[in-house]
Amino acid sequence: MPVTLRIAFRNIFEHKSKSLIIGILLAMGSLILIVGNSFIDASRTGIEITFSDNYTGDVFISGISPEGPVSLFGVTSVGGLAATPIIPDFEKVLAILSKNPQVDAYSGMATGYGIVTKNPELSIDQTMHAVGEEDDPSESDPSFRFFFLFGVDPSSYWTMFDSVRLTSGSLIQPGSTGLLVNEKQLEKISKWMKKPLGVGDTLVIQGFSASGMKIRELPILGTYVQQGEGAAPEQMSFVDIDTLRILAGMTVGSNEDIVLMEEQFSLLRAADEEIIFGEDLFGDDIIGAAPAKGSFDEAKIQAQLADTKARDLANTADTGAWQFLVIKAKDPSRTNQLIKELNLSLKNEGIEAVAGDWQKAAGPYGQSVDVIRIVFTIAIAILSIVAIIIIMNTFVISVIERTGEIGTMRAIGAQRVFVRKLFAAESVVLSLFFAIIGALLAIGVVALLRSLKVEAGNPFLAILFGGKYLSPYITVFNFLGGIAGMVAVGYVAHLYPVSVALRIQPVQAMRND
Amino acid sequence: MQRHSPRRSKALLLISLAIGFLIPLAGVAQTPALPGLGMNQAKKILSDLDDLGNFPGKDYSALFTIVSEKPGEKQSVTQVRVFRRDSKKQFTILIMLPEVNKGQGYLREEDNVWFYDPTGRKFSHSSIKENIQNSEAKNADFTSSSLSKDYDIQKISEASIGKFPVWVLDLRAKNNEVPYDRMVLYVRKDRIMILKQEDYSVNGRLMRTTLFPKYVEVEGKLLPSQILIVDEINRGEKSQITMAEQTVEKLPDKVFTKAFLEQVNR
Repeated sequence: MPVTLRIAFRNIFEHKSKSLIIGILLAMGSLILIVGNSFIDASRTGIEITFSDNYTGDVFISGISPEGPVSLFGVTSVGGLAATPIIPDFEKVLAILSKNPQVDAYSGMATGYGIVTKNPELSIDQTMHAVGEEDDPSESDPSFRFFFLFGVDPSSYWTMFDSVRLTSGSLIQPGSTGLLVNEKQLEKISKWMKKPLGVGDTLVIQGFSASGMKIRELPILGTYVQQGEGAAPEQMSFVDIDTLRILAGMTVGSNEDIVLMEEQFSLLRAADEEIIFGEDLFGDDIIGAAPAKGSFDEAKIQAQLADTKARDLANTADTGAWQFLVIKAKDPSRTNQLIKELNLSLKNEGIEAVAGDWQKAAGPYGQSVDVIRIVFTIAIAILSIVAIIIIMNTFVISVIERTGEIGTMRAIGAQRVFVRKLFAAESVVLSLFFAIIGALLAIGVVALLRSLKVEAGNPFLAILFGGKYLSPYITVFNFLGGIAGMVAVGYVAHLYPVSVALRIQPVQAMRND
Repeated sequence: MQRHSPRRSKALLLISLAIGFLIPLAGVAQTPALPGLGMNQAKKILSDLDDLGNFPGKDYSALFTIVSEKPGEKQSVTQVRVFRRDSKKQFTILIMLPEVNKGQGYLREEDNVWFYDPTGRKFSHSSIKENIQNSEAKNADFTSSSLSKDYDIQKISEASIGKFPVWVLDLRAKNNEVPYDRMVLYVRKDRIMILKQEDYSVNGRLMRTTLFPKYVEVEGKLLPSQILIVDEINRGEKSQITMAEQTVEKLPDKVFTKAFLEQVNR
């Protein structure tokens, strides 16, 4: 054993209390680092598996929106009103997919939002009475009324994903119209409506999108429970694609032109208020002639609304419109390569669409993993700085106590580099030993947490846990990384005390002793 | 004439702004021009504006055309028929344009709002409280506000807008029930009609400027017939509201029922 190591071991054992203080700090550090990373890994893996296996596949293709990133949840934009773009040149995109040998299967999709409404058949008086006597505690959390609607292509979707287990009814079949609802959500809706609901009953859903609101009465085709223990929200419901297209405003005639009179938009043209209130725009008086007197004419209004041809066309589902393509790769480990290839093909064909991984598809859910990681990293960084300062302080005290020893070593010919090595060895040995203890404790803590099967009580915890239960796990990389990180902390902490020690002149040091 | 593409963004908000908020402000007093304006006279103007915006025992109906502009996008157009009965806190709105939403209607009575979609032939119900929680609309956008009750006059000055000399009334909110903490009204001197209104946030930022360049006289009262709303936060976003067929004649009670929304769509 080199002499520096031997002296280092001797010093560690001679200064037991100081070594223990530093050691406990380092062990705690590696414990927190490893356990924390095991949480983040579990969260990331849990959400990744939930989404890629159940909803997004390995690769996700969407249109491009100038308003913000596009995910399964729509466009993440300021104000949240941006329309989810439709994949342009859909047939060409399908051709690209069918040519790529790495693509195993794919399916078209679209998503939208809706809210279930109660008692649509009641008159005003009846509804107001019903509202007046409302004392249902579930009203305080009305999130169960909300639907995140998955419009799927039943010919390919159910063979690609086995995310749902039917508890009643049937899956959505080609040509059928209706909803496949989460069983738990339907229970809550039944309680709210004060009547049992099941297959064959209908729900009145109000869909809302950037192009307005639509109401449809939809039969319940089936109920499901989610396979596995994923972190997906229970408000996910499946609906036939044409109904989804209408609710989400994906209709053929939504680009109609309207002819306006000049006076209906002239103010928008005016450069400023001086022109608007000048003489040119309205002449001398801004008070116009009184409108002709006429009594309320219901027949006239009826006549204006009678022609519904344009409306019917505008509310016809655009059968070629899809917002997303979800793709399963033959070899999921080569997903990144496949994404690159697909993006290159889309670019070469000049198609305004982009391929991404599950995290792009999961949108806010995917980002939550990054947010958790950033918060954790900042916390660890702050903790490390505090640890370094405490360890450094303890080292400084230790160095001052050993001034005479250092002076003697220097006096009998020890070079500065020898003293440096001595302290480096001491700190590395100490850090390594206690970091390993901390890492072993981390294994114990993680094993204990897994055995406790802590259940996620709310959606935020479900994201944090990456599933229904807390199931952290330690990778070799994180285990070794935690130890290496704490050794680095120990090493950095010793640099300043050593420089203090080396500033002391040997003669002075021996005199002080 | 010009061709426009319809889009319904913020349309409902603008409708509610126009029917619930702007009209009560835009009453007009036939007061002679004042050589200088004292605080009491300014307060009188505010209370006159409040009084003249109401139609006791009468109803209000009109055809609103809302054209909105956003940078980089086509103009969006919404046309609605509006029926109002303030005495019972009722209104009915029928969408006439765009075609995709034609015939859709909103019916409000007190805090309840029903939405009707003629393509699904169904109603949905919600309460005003729910809506306000999740939108940028404010309480006063849906209920008539009272200038003299909700605001104090901080400062009175003079200016001119175009060819019109105006009083500038700088108002501060008395309570937090109003959408804006500070409001500056530019009131025409010779006929005491509002030509311009500026709305400021609590931290003093100009949020919205509204111009009232055109009025019509209905049964002795002046009502704005054209309004320009300029969003001062999102540059380039503005909307013109044109009100036609304005009347304060009594409406049949059935206009404020669910059955009416169904019947006109038959």
